[in-house]
Amino acid sequence: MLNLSVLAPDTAVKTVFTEDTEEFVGTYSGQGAGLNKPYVFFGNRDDGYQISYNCSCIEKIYKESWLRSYVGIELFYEGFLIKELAKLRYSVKRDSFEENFQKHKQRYKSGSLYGAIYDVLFSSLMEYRLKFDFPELAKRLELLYSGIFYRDTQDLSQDNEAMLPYIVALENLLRFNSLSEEVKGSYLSFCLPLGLVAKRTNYINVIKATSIIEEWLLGAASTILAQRATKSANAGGENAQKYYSKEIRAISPQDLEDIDRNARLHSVKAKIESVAKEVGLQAGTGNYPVKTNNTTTFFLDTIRKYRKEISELEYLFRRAFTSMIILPAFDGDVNLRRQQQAYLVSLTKEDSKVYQYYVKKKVSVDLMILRDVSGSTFLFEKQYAEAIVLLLAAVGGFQGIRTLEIDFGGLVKINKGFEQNVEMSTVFPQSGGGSNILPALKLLRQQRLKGRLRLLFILSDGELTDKSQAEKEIAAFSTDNNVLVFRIALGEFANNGYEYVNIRTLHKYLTKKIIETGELL
Amino acid sequence: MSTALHCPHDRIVLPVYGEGLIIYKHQDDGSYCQLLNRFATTIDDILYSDMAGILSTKRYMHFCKLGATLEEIKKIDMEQDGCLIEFMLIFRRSYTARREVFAEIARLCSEKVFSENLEAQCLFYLVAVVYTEPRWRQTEREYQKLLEHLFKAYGQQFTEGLSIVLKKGEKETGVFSSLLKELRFMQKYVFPLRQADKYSLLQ
Repeated sequence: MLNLSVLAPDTAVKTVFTEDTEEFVGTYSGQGAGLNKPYVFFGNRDDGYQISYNCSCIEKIYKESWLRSYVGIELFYEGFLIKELAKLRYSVKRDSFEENFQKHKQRYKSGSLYGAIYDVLFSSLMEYRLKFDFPELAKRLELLYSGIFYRDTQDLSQDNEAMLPYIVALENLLRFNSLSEEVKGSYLSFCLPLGLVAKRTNYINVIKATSIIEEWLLGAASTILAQRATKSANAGGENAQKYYSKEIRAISPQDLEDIDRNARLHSVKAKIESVAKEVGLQAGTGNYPVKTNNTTTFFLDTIRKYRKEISELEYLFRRAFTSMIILPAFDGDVNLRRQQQAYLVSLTKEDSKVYQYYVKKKVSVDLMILRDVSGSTFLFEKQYAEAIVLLLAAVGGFQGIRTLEIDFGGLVKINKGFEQNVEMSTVFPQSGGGSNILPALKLLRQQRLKGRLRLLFILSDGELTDKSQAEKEIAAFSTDNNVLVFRIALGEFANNGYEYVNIRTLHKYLTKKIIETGELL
Repeated sequence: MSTALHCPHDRIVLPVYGEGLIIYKHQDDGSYCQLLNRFATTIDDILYSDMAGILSTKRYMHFCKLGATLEEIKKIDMEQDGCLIEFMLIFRRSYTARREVFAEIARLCSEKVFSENLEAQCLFYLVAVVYTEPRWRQTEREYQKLLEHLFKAYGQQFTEGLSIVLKKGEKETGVFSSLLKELRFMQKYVFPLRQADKYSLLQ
């Protein structure tokens, strides 16, 4: 599960879910709640904050968004909370008496053009800093912004509505490197360096850049109004009007195509899709992408039913396989903040973390499971399949852990290959035939092993049909490929060196064995 | 409308992925844009580079019409998709950019005499006409600073230079009357001992 408290560790935040929109509006009207507002966030540092979600609004937005095919609705809830906590984290903690800051406070008020531009630039700075500090949380925020038109310009006053396309164009430029054809070309070229400086540095430059961009827009106000009048007269800008409206709505696949068409960097859609898949694969959050083909109902039902157990297993794996190595040196770090800290430390002569660079220790495990689905497993076939699904789902999100699952019995079948995504696996309850392991071993020999740690779990009752030949093959396979073999028996009988494990605790036992073996190495 | 991104050097840039970062490269020769990629770039650097770009490419020539009022020039700028807004904004906000403009006028005058130098006249006239922008007078203190900079650069020669541009002799024009009055006030009461301008306009 995500730990969002790292964003604002000294801040208490209460979460409230309101199912009915009218109740939401009625209860939180004082905090600016509206029918189309997905949430309200209010409070202060002393008494704590509260985030209240408008569940029906969020659900409506989720259903219309293109992200629906990749991630669960939880992403929106998490994303909104991450956004607000990040704002708390990166905003000014204490008021300064400096003249420019005081002027900024006065000008930043609801409905003002200055406020809207400041929000865009500050969001950009927030996302940028979050990518350095908390990359996993930044991904979720990136997805949220790519899935929903929830701009901070919602409160823009009517007088400044004509500027909305320019503010949206600025936002798209900084977020997607996307150029809008609806605005004056020189505007984006002028704003780009200012936006980059604002987002890479600090709030002082955000304030400076905001006032400069505001002055540009006010200087061009007559031009903008004239263009808008022309567009309204032509009445051909329906889609553009909708795109630039203040309405909170989901980004549809068509909207994403439009953004993609104007992007100058790369395919925005492809990049965000890959982030969505990566986030969706993390079983600990319970988010699994819903594909329209090649999935089994059993797999997805099991994921949903055992979300808690899967997240517990994932936590254990994360603890075991995530460790940081201190790097002695690091080249090419252009992080200006670290350079400045290093300079200060050189003056004060204090020990500091500045010189310590960490990199995540690489995990490299090949996990292979040969599962006996002969007729003797009939009595517990469902729990049997569920245990395998739990294990595969728990390790599915770890880069470096490759899994392979082969069922053998009457027939032999690879349910999940090394190169397959876990959601494409076809593990399901089945039983029948004898325990012929040799064909499974033959299939196993054909696989290419890459991991430093290679584990083979043979789940059977020990009564293999071809056991003497099978044991020779297993021993040869183990020696040739440096594989550790574990023999586990289920059911009432455990013979021939197989260790008895209760079917209910099979997934925990497998987890324990994997972690113990990993720790030994 | 042009949908290419231009850097402050007025070259087309393309964002690309490199070393895990987004890097901006010039389209013509593939070189990196120092201003857009550097982490230590300041806002003043950007404003200065923008103004240097406008001056070096002489984009002000496209919309500056001698004798026109500021509103007329704004209309021309709108039709030409020019850079008047940027020019005014940067001129007002950046001291180094203003200094660069004044120096550019002097440099142009050193190449060819002011009375026959259309580029110098256009730039000089543009500087004079932007001072008539009403919004600039909203903050009197800032306006006085702008005026002081103008006075120190060309104050003594301003009237003569303006008359050359407008070809109306010594008579004050309605548009510039308050500006000329303020410059005269500055000469008489604020800098009474100042004898010469910093830059030479009329050789």
